[in-house]
Amino acid sequence: MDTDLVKRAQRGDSEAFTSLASGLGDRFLAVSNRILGDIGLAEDATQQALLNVWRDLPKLRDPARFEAWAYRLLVRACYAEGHRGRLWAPNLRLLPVDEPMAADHMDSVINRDQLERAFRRLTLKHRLVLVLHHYLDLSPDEIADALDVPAGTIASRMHYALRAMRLAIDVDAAPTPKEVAR
Amino acid sequence: MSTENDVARSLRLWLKEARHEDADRVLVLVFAQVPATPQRRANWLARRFPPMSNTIRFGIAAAVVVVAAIIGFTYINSQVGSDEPSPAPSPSANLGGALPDGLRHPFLGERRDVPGRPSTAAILVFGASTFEFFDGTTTSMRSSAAAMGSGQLQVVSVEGTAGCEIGDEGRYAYTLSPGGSLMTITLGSDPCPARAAAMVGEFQRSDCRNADNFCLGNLEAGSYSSQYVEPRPAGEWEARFGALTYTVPEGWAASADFPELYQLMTQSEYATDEGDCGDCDASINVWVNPLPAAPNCSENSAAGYGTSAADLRTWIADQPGLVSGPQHDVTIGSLSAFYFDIELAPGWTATCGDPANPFIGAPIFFNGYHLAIGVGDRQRFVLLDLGDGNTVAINIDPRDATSFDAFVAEAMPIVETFEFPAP
Repeated sequence: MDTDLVKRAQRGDSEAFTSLASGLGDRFLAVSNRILGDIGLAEDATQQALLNVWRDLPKLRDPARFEAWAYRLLVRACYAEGHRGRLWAPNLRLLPVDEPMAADHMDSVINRDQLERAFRRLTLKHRLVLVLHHYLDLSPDEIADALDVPAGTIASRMHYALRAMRLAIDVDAAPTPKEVAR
Repeated sequence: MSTENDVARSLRLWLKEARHEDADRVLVLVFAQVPATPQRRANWLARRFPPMSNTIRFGIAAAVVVVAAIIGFTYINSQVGSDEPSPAPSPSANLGGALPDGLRHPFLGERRDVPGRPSTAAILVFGASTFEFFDGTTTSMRSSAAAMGSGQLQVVSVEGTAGCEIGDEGRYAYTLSPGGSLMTITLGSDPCPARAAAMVGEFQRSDCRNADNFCLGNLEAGSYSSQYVEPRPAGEWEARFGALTYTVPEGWAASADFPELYQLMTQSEYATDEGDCGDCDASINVWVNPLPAAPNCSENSAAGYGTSAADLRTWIADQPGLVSGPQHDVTIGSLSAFYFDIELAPGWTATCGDPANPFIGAPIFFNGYHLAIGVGDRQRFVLLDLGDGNTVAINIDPRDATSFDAFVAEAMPIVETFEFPAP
């Protein structure tokens, strides 16, 4: 990240901000789409996050931490959109896949529909850490930095998120949970 | 049966599948709005710097219990208010509907003895259709939850813990105060005595904007108790409900509740706070065992001064960057205290804060959080010794100097209701 660009944008240089935002836009949209599961909500979250980046840039004290800070704003925007739009509503739009994964590769592990259903059942916080780690390849420390929470919290959250995914997949595969009741 | 490694591997592949995501349309909209969107200047830096991250602050707190508790809180908060069903298997015995919005919060109550489960806290955590109990360290009694008509609640165990069997069905009645910030639960029937002991009683709603804190959020007029601040630390920190009690009129919010800091804020100010206390004006702050801050604004305490209320007063009087007004006596929670007002010395030019973005100001206290005063600022401090070696500083911080008198007139009656009960 070009810290000079960040500093210029902090001083109100809109051309510098245009460069920064252009570099973030596609990734922001991809991340928010995976978190929110709806391209319309994801576009709204991306738009709001980028505007917040512009608006709050003067508050950023260390330009070298621009990306982590910007992702924090994206996360907040996803929270706002998620709560406003009711996550994973029935009118969920599924997007076409450009390069579908080889079927045998995916099927050998867990099928795509199972994954999607299980992912929908996760809380927003759990989806966040999973997307940041497994999609953006951020380490727990980097996620902690982006979310401004302790690294231990992220480790715990990732553990619970994966456990919740596994439980959801297992429950999904089970015939009925009815026998659990007395 | 899948393993978590299978899940992680498959999830990674699924997330990385290429999808049609082109932000061009969004960027056009953003760039069109930029000229009409003013940037926010970092004026809060003149008030409080640097707002240490919770990571560092809790590192200073150092208690493993704190870390474990925070991890627990975070996990609990991730479950609260979710419209998604719990991934845990749900029994089919629930007959009612989803819980009303007013119940989908954590509710904090006095510590109680739950059979077979020693607790340091009593937090009921309701989601849309779930209930669990957090005892300050772990969660238990996970149950499905359903509304059974007005003011009636059904919970059915989905795990066998704390003496509850899977499928145990409890019935309770509850009443909420008009604004929903207080709840009373009474027992109808429950074969699980631990759950009955946990749920029955009076509770305060936690509706905190900071997802990693269980502050109470907006309050109705009335009396409240803290959950986490500990004005009388002795040994390892643990949550102590009611370590601080207070009474507020309409229009106030409890915006932070950490082991070393409790904060009240006007609701109008809280509505603009982003949950991280980045701009904490119009607030009353209770600081536990503050230290005189190093004059060079580093995150250290000043050498050569004690920590009693009188010592802190002496330190402030000795600072060339601070001008303090006359001292007045006041009684806080039957304890003798005194207060005075502080401003930055006229002509003061020394700076504090981030070297890349400094502001003219002088440091005051440091206790993991760092408090400073800037140009044009005016604050009131109430200092008191609790009689057991602990000291509390109460800082009344108006939005700006012009609102000082009006804000202090509103805040001091609240401060005078503060009580700091011993354990």
